[in-house]
Amino acid sequence: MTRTASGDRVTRLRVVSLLLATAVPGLLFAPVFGLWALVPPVAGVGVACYAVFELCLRVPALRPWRPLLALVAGALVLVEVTLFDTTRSGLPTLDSLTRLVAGATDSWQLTLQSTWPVRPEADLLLFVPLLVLITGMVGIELLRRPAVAVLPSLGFLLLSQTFVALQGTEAVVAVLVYGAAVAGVFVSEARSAVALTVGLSVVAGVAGLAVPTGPAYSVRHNEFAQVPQEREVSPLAEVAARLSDPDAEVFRYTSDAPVDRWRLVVLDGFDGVTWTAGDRYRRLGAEIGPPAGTTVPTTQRSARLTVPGGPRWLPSQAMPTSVTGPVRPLVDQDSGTLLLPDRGGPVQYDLTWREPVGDLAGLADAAVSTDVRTGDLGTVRDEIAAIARTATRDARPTFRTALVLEQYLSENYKLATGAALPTGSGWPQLREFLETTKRGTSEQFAASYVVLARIVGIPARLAVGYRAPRDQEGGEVVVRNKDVLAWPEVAVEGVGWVPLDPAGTASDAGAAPTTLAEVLAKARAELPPPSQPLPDPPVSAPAQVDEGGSWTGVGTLVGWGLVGLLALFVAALLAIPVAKLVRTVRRRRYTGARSVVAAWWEARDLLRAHGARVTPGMTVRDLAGVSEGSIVDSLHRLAVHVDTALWSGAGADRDTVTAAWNAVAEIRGTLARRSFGARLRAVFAIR
Amino acid sequence: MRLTRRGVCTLAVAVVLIALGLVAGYPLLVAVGAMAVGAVVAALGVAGRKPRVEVIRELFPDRVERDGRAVITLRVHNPGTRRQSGFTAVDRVGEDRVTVAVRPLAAGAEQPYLNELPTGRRGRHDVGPLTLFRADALGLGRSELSLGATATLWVYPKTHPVAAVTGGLPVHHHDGEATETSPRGSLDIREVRPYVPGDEVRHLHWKATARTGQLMVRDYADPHQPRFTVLLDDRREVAAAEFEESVELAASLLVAAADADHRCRLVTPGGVDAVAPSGWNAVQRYLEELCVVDRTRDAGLPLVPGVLAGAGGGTLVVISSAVSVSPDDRAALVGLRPRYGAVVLVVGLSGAAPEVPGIRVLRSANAVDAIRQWQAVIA
Repeated sequence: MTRTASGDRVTRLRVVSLLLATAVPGLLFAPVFGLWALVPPVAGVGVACYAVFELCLRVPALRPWRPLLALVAGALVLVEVTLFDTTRSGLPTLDSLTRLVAGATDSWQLTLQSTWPVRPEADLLLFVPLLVLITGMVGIELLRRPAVAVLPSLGFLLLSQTFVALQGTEAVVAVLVYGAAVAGVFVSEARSAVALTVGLSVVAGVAGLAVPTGPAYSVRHNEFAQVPQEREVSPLAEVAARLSDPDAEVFRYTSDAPVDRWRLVVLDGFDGVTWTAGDRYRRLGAEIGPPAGTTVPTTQRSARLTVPGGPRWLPSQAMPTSVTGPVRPLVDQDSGTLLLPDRGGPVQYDLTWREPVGDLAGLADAAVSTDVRTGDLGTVRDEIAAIARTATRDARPTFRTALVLEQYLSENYKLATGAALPTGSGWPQLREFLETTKRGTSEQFAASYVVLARIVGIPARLAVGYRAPRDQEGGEVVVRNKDVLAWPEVAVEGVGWVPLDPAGTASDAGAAPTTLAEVLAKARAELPPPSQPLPDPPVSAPAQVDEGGSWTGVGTLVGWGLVGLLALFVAALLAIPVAKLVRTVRRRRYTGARSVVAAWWEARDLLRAHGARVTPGMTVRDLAGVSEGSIVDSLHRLAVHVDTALWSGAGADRDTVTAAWNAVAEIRGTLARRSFGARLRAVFAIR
Repeated sequence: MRLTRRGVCTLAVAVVLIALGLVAGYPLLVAVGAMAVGAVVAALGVAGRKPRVEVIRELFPDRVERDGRAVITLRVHNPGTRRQSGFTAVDRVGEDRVTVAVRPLAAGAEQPYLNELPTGRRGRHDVGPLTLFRADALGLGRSELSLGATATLWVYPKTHPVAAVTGGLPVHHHDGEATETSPRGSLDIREVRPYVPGDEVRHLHWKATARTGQLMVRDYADPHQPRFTVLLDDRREVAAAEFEESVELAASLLVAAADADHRCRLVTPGGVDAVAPSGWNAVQRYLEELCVVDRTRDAGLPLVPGVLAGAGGGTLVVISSAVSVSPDDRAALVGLRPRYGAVVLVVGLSGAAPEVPGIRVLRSANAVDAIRQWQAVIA
């Protein structure tokens, strides 16, 4: 092979490795887009880059145009793979180009503003293969200095981590593949101690993954969809108005299981006067997983809703999973609120959501969530604080306390009916409700509950929506104005936000209660009477404060490193005898002259393992010349058989083969009489 | 033992990656950084151990024609009790390098490595010292060790087969015709000159000694002894490529003549004046001289050196590819002509050929062409 050809081979290996090192960070976006949505465009771009490189290798005149060619080829492949619907019989159009440019400028932003995994659409995904293309192209141009050529892909790797930080098994695989690819770019002609380099790198890489790191920073943290601010009436303020026009239809739905209630909006901000909703909306992706902190099992439910018109908020559930249909609403993952910014006429959509199921028996004793802020209160008067303490019997903030507060409100306050309904949920109205009139709609009940709960330290928020009526019309449930409902929700450890009903109006009309409603009803029934103090649930022991906290990470690291090294050592030790055994078995299976030669190889390797000086090109008789004892005779016999097999022209019959292997067995027997140490060394000798 | 620039950069990037990964909470970056650190540590481990080997260098043959085969054998012996892992050995041959990848070596074992040396350049080349490199597979670290001994490789100019021309000493016309059929050989007296120690005492010319008052001897020469002189132009004005061709031609002619037992002489304007008794030793002598001959440093030297002033007899070949010939050079050539049986001037295609009566001129593009013409015209 000429120097140029071997140089080309090395360059090709480097380019392939570099493209692999570029593709790996691209595929690390899999949690966002799904692996199978990413593979075709990323692989296509990689193949295009390689094809252009190969073309320029064969046609040196094109060499100065290589970056441009790679860019054009990659863009073409992207259009064909991801934007095929914009092409006209396979040819790119102006529309393809516009979408490609939009992919470079907007798609990463749209991805950040969406819930993950996103919908598998080209407009969101395009920036990843485009980045692969640019990184690969720049890397190939820098390949003259391999270490520098790797840097773009390293930057890309960092970028992929700022989107979604990989952990666990996927991270191990990604690190190993990326490391192998970078090694392929770096590889030089020296072949010394490859095993040491590979072993140390792998052990260090795996140990590096075991190092505990802090919470991952993500560029997505503060990136939300832009929601145009509109002047509109809060659904909370409309509660009384809707109750005074009870029969107007709001929306209708069919569902696969009974529904407890529908929410429109969740209000968690309170400044003493008004209740405000959060604005942390995202575009709804393909599917939303269960919220963080929810440990109870959940099940999927679905319903088809038809909403004739109205505010921007669409009826939803606490944990929506996906929305299918012509609408593309924004979603607030914390509250489950669906928002359709530019709402026109009636809309119809299928909603799926999660509901907690299974064993919720421990709910009554559960603690309130500690990672949710309790919420704002405005200025609290002492009388109100006194009411809160009385209502909760001075107990610690637990879910049972929350239920006691609910019981207190429903027993001591009356639901307002008739024509003159109280309105408002600011502090003046709430004070009047709590201290004077003790009469209100679900608006005052829910708002009072939330402020009292927050005073005693229970994180609570206010939700507005509709209860699910019992009556059906032709298979459809029609929700009317009279079903309007405001209710408080309490954050419970491991379950999420649990809706309560201090006004006692939700259960009146409820069709068939959900699992959660059942458990709640049972817990309410088991509450102790008002005269008794609340049972104090056991408090778990405080977490052990680790004195040498900063050293545990290093200790773990060293431990894992040692375990890894030990495992590697043991594996290497075992691999030697096993490999030799496999080699012998394979040699025994040869036939004819080859088997006789294999017998000679076996004898040679045996003697070499036992320390004989064997040089390349040694014949059987040469080896016999430097051997001693009965081995010499065995080798001479073997030599005769080898000569017969190779040079007599008659080949080797079965007897020759058997005799040759018998000679090997004799040598083995002679060697077996050596000292134990020598035999042990021979077993593990790499020869 | 040291890290290469790539190794240092890798280590720096690894530290940055680990710090970034720990601060921003990316385990993947920490792992990639840790892998890089592992590779660098492995590189230090690999490069940290200098190869402990004995290397014996054998060069055969140590005298070779240009583009001929010269093989260097490195006998690498591991004198230690531990297995020695592989390394790269680089041998210097003049300005070229020969790289040998030495495989891992068992304790006490010896392994020969045969490599052809580059012999494209005429001259006397020092081979060695041998430098042993050890580097890891990723090129992150390396160590170097130089082993002292050197050898010498003579790369002779290429010689082409060519017929030798026979030309003896012309007899002075006053002496009458030379005897062609002398039964016991012949001996012409060329001159009577002062005695110098070492001269044959039997050749003392007593009459002349008596007349002059100092010892005088007769200088005899065999008129049938063929003589061959090459004047190789090595002045600065000659182009390098053409000079190589000239040297090749001179070597071919001299080797052919010396092989035929002619008395030869090699003269250059730069001061080379090689005379050797005929035979194999002579061939060796001329080839060594032509091996190291190079163009002079000073410009403007006369083409015909002073040492040729009193010489004569046989054939004179002037090999010059200088573009211009000065009037002085022409005059010198004219002066030389009568003292030789034949004078041939070989010039390059671009060289100047002065009009000198009785001198044959060969114009040739290169040595092979010149020899072809020589065979056709002269021999």
